[in-house]
Amino acid sequence: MSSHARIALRPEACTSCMLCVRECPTWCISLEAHQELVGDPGARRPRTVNVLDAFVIDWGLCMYCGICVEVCPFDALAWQP
Amino acid sequence: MLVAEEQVPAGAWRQRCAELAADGATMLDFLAGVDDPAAGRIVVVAHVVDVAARRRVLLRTEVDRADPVLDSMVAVYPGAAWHERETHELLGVRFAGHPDLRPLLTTGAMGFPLRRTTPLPARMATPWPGATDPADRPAEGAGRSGRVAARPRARLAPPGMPAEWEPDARSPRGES
Repeated sequence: MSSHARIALRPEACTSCMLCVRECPTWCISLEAHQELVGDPGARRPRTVNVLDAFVIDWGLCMYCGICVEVCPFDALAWQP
Repeated sequence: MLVAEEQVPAGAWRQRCAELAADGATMLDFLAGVDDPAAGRIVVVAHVVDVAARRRVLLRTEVDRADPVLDSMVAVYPGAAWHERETHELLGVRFAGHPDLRPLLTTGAMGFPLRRTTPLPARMATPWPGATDPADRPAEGAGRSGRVAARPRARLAPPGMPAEWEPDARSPRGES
């Protein structure tokens, strides 16, 4: 039987879509992000991207259900041994 | 062990429990309830096990949410006594024939805590982290190019919260 110590984020994969924050049943995830414009030479105007500032899981509230890992569309969250 | 699932009409609950116990399923694992306000019912679930035969049965029944009454199974499974007390204090299901339906833990001050319509004080007082959005801090110069990436238009609320609750736009760490 496997056991997990925590859930870890890969910041380079995170797009601050907020899905993990909103689906967490215990509201243990806090995410702060802002938007920036990124030049796109092929497009008529710059692209807006989310930039992650802070991602915190409150381990006192986390119940290790794994819903955040499942719901992340970019596989940015994973179990860590 | 595979588990056999059964849907039992509420009126046949006591009889079905007696049949299963007589058949050898003498161990009660748990009895619990699930609130389903959308369907106007409370589902009661019981898990009984025949250890020798390695057989598990998951029984489900449903009671009317407006007046939830179900026969108690204590005569067949005495161990259900506290499970039924707990289901009664958390969801309000009355178990007919139960010798002592006193609450185990609750004081009754907040109604039935496990009902999905009961606003729990800790939830009501806590700002929801999902209320913020990256679009709350738009890029500089975004307005000049014509369009600002909009916040999600759909009204966001955490799943399962009662209607009286409002998501607070403050960050949960106290910054505005």
